Amino acid sequence: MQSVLVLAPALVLLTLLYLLPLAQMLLRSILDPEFTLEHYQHFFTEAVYLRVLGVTFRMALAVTVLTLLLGFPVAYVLSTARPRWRNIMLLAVILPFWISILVRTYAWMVLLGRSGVVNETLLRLGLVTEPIKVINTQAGVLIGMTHILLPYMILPLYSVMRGIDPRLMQAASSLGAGTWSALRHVYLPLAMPGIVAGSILVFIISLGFYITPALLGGPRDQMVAMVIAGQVQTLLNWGFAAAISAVLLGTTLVLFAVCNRLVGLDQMFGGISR
Amino acid sequence: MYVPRGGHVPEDLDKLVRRPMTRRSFIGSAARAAVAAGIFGAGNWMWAGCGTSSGGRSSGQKELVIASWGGAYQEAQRKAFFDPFTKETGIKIIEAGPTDNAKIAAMVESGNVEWDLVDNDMGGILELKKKDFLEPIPYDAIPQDVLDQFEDSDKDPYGFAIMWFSTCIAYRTDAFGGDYPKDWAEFWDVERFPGPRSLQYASNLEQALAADGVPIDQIYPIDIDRAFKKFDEIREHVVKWWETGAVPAQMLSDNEIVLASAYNGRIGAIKEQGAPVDVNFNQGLLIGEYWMIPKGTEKLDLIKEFLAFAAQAEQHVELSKHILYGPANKKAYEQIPPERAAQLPTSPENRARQIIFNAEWHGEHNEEVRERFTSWLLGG
Repeated sequence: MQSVLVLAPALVLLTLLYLLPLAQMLLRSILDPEFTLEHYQHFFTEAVYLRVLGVTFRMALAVTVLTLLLGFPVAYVLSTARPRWRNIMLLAVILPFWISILVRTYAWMVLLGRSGVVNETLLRLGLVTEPIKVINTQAGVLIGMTHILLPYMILPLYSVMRGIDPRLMQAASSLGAGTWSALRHVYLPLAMPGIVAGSILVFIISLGFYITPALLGGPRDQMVAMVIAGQVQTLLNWGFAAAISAVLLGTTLVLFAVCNRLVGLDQMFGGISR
Repeated sequence: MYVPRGGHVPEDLDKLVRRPMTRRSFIGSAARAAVAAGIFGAGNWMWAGCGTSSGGRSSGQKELVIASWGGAYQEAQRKAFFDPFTKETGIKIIEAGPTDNAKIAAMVESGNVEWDLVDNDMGGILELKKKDFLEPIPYDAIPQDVLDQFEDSDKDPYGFAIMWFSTCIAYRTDAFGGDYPKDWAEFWDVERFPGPRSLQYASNLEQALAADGVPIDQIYPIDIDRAFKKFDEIREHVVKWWETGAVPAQMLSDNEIVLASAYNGRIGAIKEQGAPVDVNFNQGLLIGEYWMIPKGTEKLDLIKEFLAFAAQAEQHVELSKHILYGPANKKAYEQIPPERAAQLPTSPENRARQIIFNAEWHGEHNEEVRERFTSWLLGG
């Protein structure tokens, strides 16, 4: 009972500011202006929208994998560092949160552009004869999004890794396990809740990315958020925009249900709260 | 994706953000200002790209909330319309923006109309008109002799023209040894004018047809298939299909592209700052910008007063001094110096060589074109 009381303000806030508008939006996708399923029908009959959804999910998956590969070693070093260094490194991880996404995106444009810092340097050193194309390609989006989402991967990983007793790895090696084997059989299973939490966080945030792919991406990097924005702002097709959003939400939920069956998310997060 | 909001940009940064902007928020300066704001510890910064925010309401004094596009354009409007109007009538103008059709629709739908008068293009006006979200323009409040100084087509029942801008050929002056594309066919000529380009997302069909040899007075009704076929030819050389006017201007000044279709005022603004860019009005697309009234305003009497004031030729002359857009009031051209007129998209000779945007055609085909464009981009 007490816990309910403590949670009440947050629950009220969430209901009013998140759940109600969400419900309103979902209703809009079938009630625009009166009951109709045509928006969903349109979504599934026009191949282009499913393709955009495909592009979006692929991009989100790629960014999740990249942030995991880059974030895992960082989180490990963080969790084993001395307090003084740890604080400095944590600051370095958290600092970008205070800079707007637009600015960080634009910074990549300045760095990687055709006449950007990187290309100018490479050309002067004679390492390339033509500027390398990064901006306005898929690589550009991946770099930008990975950079922006890295802290979301590192922080959950770090919080789980801090709880792993370093003596367990020593015990494993004293029992004859090599580094790789100890990592695989001892460390990774213990770090798994962090991996899953970080991955889910990064994946979900990636799905809604808009400005970074719009500015750094190439013509084919059409994310679903751009398509929704076009329907909302340019065409004022709010019913259809709501239907696209609902499909995005539904697909994501289904994906997690599948994930849950495969790796048992409940147990995992139960593991964290223990 | 989420965009941090709030935070305060100091006055000087605010100027930095506003000065170079024309029509829509300018990414580069906005980003620079935001970097500076971050360095000065101002924290998060709003992605509106201009210091204006929705006008709040207070009772008592007579006031009118007007929304426009922000940047250099809104600053020009302040000098030409807002400040002189307040001086003459004592009615305060609260500036808001940037113009956003989704926001206007939400306001009208919820019965909470915060903007009394909005500067919008005909595309937006038509979409809002479809949904019956607009008040008719009270032309009876404007003296007949002033009304006669406007083209009939500039006096739409739901939109009263302010100025015309052009989506035209923009180029880097240092890219082709002094040469530049004289028309869209040359813009499409990647042999003679090599380098990355940018065109407008789900737009510029008119330009594609002009490139394919369709005379500028025979563009409409647009042959969509033909336009897309023409897009196929240049596809590999278009590195960005822009959605915001800031993007082509920014990319040209960063040397990310050498050619673009762009709003002429945007390019004019960065040219004045020293960027090696210029525009060519030949076969440009002339698009009008209008006053429109969201349904549900309670300030109709003040709006009438403002419209009558802002329609005067003197005010339009003033506007053309501050921004390179063509005033809709024809009488204004009698007082604009010839060298300035040559740079405006609606001077008689510039007007004669351009395509006049047909908003009705777009209103009917917007969805189809956008859908087809997205699927064409994704490769099929």
